[in-house]
Amino acid sequence: MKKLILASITTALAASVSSVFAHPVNHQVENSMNQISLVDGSPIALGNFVLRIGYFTFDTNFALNNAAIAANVGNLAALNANFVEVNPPFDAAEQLEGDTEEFGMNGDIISTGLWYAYYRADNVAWDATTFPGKPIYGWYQEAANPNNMAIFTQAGLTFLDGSSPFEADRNMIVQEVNANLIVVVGNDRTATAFDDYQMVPEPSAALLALAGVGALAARRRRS
Amino acid sequence: MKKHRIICSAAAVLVGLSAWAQAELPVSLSTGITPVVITGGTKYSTIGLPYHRQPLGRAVVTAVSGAVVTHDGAGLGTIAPNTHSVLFLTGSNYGRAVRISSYNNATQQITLAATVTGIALNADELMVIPDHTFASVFGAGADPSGLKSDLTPGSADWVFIADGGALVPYFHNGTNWRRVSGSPANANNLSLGGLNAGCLVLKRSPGNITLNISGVLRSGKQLVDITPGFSIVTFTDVGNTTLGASGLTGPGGLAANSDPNLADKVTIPNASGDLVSYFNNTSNWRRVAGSPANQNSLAVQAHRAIIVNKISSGTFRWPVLESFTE
Repeated sequence: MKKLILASITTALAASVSSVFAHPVNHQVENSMNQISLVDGSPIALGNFVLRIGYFTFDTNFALNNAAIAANVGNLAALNANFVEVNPPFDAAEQLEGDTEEFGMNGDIISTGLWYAYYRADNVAWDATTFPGKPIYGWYQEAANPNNMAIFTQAGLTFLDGSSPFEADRNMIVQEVNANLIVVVGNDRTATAFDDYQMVPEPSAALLALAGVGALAARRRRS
Repeated sequence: MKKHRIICSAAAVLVGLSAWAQAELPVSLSTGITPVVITGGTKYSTIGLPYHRQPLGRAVVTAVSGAVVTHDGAGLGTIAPNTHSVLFLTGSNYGRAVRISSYNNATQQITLAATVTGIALNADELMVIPDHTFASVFGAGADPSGLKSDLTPGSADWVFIADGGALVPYFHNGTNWRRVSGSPANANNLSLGGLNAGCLVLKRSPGNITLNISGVLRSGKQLVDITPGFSIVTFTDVGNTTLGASGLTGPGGLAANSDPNLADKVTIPNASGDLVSYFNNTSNWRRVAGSPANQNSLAVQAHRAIIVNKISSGTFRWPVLESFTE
């Protein structure tokens, strides 16, 4: 798993005499209208999920990259190895801390199952990373079982560079009315009474679950 | 007349304009002066300019051909390109300000920066007003109004204006104002962008300062053309209003969208002097990044400006609140 550690921000950096002055760059992923649920259908809540913001490196072609992600749902090692992400992720510690508007990860609960999280970086440090120009992915995982997941991206939405303090915010909203949203991994149950996006288990676990159901049905027929 | 913030009470200002044979300026023009705080320490402050400079004159439109408007009376004299604006005082364009691209004194023909339709010939009146400049607002000498001059742009305080849809920074080099990058020409007398334009200050140097803005109080209806790209638009001087009551969105207005990447955006420095961007998600205003809470009640302060990033096509003619009701 590739992680990119961004330097902490210092006062000296902000006071740089460079003609490129320091300013924050913010990248946000949120689900403010439709819940995201765990495999069992319960909504994401404090401590039971992790949101990772970054980009996948399977393929430089966006469609092929998404296809490769979907094909590797049961291969967590491969997904991790091909994911470049901001650090820290929006995990239990960050969820507990809430939105302090500090450099690093921030976010908070909106209401049941609805959360927002954003990564704030200094533009000079951010421009030194590989993120600018890459497509944004929001990778949700169950905290207890990271093999259960949902992954979202949006056509045409990429990480910003730090060239302008006036275009320094980017937000991918995971919601039904977002026509450009792509559910790379996960169930879209928005058309149902659940009105949510649901994480899915790795395929082997799903097959075992189905096998168990099949065996139960066979036993009932014999009896 | 609604109450508004001016230190000097409305006073009669006699303006002698012997060149004008007809349609002279009124005998009295309301003037005012207001202090505006600029936040220091690498912080942003917008400066609204609801007061304009002394008008050159007032006239009746006698002919229109495309963007060229002919007025009655004698010529105004020499007007350099892009240094003045026309304010329409009557008719269907009442309250609309348009920049003057060029002027022919011999023929009394004003070439406007945009075509204006619906002008009633020999009836509608306009006023010609010099634009605010860097020198007229901040001063021309070193450390103008307390902003830091420096030979090195990265060490000086900056003032952004909107130019052609982009936000362009300027600084004072100890001798004169000039662009941060690009032509080193003296920008002391460069227009800040017309009657409706404000500016954005990035004060690197520590400590707050107070800038006194003054001039002739602009009264009556105001229509502000907001075009694609970035604009810095002066807001009303009546008093604080809110994003929700601003009239920026609605039929023909800034584009609202549930996806912030498809919506037009407004940027306003917060109380700490940091830039915060907002969009209207079709239900309410909210931040682009950060809490999605409803920001309809966010105050847009008097004597300030807002930065608009219009990604949608077309021009939005924004009806700003009136300074006072005549």
